[in-house]
Amino acid sequence: MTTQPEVLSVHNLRTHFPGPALGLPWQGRTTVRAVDDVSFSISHGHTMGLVGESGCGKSTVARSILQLVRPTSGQVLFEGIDLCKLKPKALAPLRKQMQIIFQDPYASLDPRATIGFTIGEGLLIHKLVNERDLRQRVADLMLMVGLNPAFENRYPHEFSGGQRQRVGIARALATNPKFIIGDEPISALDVSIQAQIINLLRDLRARLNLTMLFISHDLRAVRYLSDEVAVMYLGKIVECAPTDLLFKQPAHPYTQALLNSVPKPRWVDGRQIAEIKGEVPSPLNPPSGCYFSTRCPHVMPRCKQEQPALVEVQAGHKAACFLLNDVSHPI
Amino acid sequence: MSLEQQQRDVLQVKRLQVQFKTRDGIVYAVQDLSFHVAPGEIVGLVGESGCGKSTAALALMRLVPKPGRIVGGSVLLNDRDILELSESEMRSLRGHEVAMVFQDALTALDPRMTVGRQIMEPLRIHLKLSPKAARERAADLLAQVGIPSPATRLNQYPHEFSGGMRQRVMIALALSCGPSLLIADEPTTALDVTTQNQILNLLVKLKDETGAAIVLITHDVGVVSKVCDRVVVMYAGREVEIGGTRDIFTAARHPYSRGLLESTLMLDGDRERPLEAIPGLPPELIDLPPGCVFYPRCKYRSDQCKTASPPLEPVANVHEAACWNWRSLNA
Amino acid sequence: MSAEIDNQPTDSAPLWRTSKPRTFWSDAAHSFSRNYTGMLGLLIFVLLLLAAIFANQIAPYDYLAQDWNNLLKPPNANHLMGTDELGRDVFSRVLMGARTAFLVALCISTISTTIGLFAGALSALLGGWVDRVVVWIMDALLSFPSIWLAAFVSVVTRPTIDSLTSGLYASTGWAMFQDRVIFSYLVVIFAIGFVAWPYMGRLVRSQVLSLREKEFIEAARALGAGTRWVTIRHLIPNVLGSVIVTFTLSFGNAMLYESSLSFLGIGIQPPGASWGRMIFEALGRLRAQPYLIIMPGLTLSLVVLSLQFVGDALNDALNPRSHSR
Repeated sequence: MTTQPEVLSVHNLRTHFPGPALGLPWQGRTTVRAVDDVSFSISHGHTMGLVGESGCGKSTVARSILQLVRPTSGQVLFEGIDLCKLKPKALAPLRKQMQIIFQDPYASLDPRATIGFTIGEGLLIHKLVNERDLRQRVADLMLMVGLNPAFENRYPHEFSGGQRQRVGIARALATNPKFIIGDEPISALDVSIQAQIINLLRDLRARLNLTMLFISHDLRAVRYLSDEVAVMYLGKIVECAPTDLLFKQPAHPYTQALLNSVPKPRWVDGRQIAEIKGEVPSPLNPPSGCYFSTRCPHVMPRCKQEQPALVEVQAGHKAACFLLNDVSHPI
Repeated sequence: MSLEQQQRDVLQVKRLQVQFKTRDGIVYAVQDLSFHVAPGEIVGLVGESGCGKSTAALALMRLVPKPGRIVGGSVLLNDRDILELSESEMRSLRGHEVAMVFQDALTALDPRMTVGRQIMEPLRIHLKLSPKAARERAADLLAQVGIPSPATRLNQYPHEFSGGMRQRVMIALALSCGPSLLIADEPTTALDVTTQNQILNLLVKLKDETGAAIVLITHDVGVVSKVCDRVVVMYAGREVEIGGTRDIFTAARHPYSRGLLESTLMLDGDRERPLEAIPGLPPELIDLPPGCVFYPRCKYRSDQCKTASPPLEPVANVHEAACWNWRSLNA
Repeated sequence: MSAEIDNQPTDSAPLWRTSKPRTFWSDAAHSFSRNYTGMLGLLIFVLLLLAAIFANQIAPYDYLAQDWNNLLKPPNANHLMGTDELGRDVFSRVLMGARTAFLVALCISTISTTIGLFAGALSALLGGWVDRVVVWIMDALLSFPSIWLAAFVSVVTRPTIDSLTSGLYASTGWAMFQDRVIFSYLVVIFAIGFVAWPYMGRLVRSQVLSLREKEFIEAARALGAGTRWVTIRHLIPNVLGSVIVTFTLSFGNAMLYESSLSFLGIGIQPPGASWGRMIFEALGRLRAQPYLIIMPGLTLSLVVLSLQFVGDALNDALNPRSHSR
């Protein structure tokens, strides 16, 4: 497992956006630290799950990796090449090797393009096939994701959300990428369709030997698709572990709270659902010390002053919480 | 069901039919929906998008948008058939005896009016309170739904509230006149998991305090298992199963309910096995299969299902399912 | 092993081979051809356009010829639209007026659309100071009443035009430079074209700005598409619908403009034929000879209406969502 080469590794990734202006012009602007010092790596054929609530920066991580948003600092190594250092021209040919599936199956398809064009667009951009082979390849891709190739001339609005998401998947797979990011690809779908798409992604991943970054706010979805899971809160990774370990022994109070907040039947543990008090603080004005300290049930005075670093709880399992420092071994 | 119990029900819906005239013909968005809600009870209307659950919710308020029309059945609210009422009688009922919480509080609230004025409006119209009394009552309501410093918050506009807080405002607004029935249409869908749980707990708490009955429209099977006493499962505008939540979750007798439960993502169970997804897509309402609407996707289908639509029949105590083959779905 | 297929075709022959490849444009043309009001509008418009182009051949009389035996005759077999107070054939004058109207409208709307398109698109795509400057210019221009501007330009430039044309006539001897009014009018037309572009500019800018935020544009960029590809394959097809509709409407508007200008005495001077001029001259006879106003007025309305039909049909045709199938 450890011998597999790393397809992607992210080191100290930071992506900051200018926030709203501070009152007067000379006071400058605030900074939104959407992604703040994030590091992880994914080895060949593996899937990393990235979980967090809306606004935690998980989608910005995806866009920063693909350089759709240029990171403020840090490294994104794709097969050893630092994407952050590449000019757009040099980046373009690499794009066929890394693709993204978007969350919104409506906004992510051009309403005025046939789905055949949308699926084959990557092939056309990189001039990978001629006219005749294009139709064959598009038909193959449509079959692969479970769409009838006869529909190639139809427009997105003629399809349901689940079918559109299949189009999005076929588009991402068209150029035979090595690495795929799924940015909440199932969140907008109905329950029974979610299961179909998860099965499809699992099937495709195995068949095409894909490396994946799977982003979701739903721990349950991540569990079915990931080998490893990273939990994000306010732009930082607070815990990272192999999937089974994370679900069995969550170390960070936030991960524990997220797990508890998945509703269980009433006859199992009553009608009250475990809730995390309060709300996610604004990334414009994060709390001092540990970002989770405002909502943490185990908060200590120290948490308000210092930021905990990610420490290894056990082999391959890291978490950023002072509670763990006493019992575990720092790296 | 005894006569006595019938009289005590807050809401009795009998064979409700809602029709939409479209360019391509007449479509039944809700067909023969029947259920009842006792005081203090939470009944879930569950199904995927397009199954008619939201139309049904609007029909209970007589707010079905054009070109939709209620064409049959009865809706008894505290023993009065609201379908027989005049529009002005209906207006005095809405927000008073029956109130609604919508999915998207940002669009349901008027962005140009302070939250205080919006809550005071029904108090002044229905309860004829003086401006001062209405203001005091509005502040009490905000406090009751867990909004800190209610007196100042009354003077703020909806955009100054976070998503979760806005949903609390909606609930305060809905409860302002002490309705006996609250219809909540996907009240937590737009929220993060942790906020979702706060809102659900709040709804349950308020229901216990006020004794109001709740009809909860949702696609989230987990939420249903947590808070609902009874469940109505809808598919393609039809009621396919109705019963106690636990009965349906542990012994569903309709293949669709069962498929929906099986395809739901879980925190436990074998994550290596493919999910039990329901194959195919829900039918278009304009082009329903002639027999059972679930026939094309059903694992348990027989020849009878192809031609004849199954009626709801009792399968256990207060548990009905609309399936010819319910007996072959062992508990 | 392939994943499950939705609505799998019943026979195993691959259906897609038999269907012709369709493009956005061929679909749009097909949809337009099936829109009856649109086709009717196009037919009327083309007929009127042809009538304007071949006005000299179609006109039964010389539009300037005065017939003192037939003054103010209502429409009859000899004079389809009657005659005016000088005995001139109204039908022939309406035809010649159509020429003026189409020419002026074409100039104004082409100029304003072209500038608006480029300025709006550049403003949205480049952003930064370019955007700020373009927006500032558009706001400034929109605050001008353009009729006032036309009158102003007409008056201010008249002496220059006069000396220029007389100079040119002296040096070349060409007869066209004798007609100073036409040149003065041309200047006015260009001036209006230059002040009318912000309507198109604003539309294009806002459309491109909102499109740029769309996920499908990001998807194309993620596939490796450059600015050129995104512009040609995604931005243009998505913006074009509203641009064409606005163009057709601005064409109609420009025709109304021409009439107002001539009505105010800035445009075509007597005895030249222009619909606005004709209406202006007949105002005093509104009671006695209403046809003098109705005939040019009706023709003008017909063109504007036909353009609206065409515009609506184009809007539908360029939006796949509204294709009936």
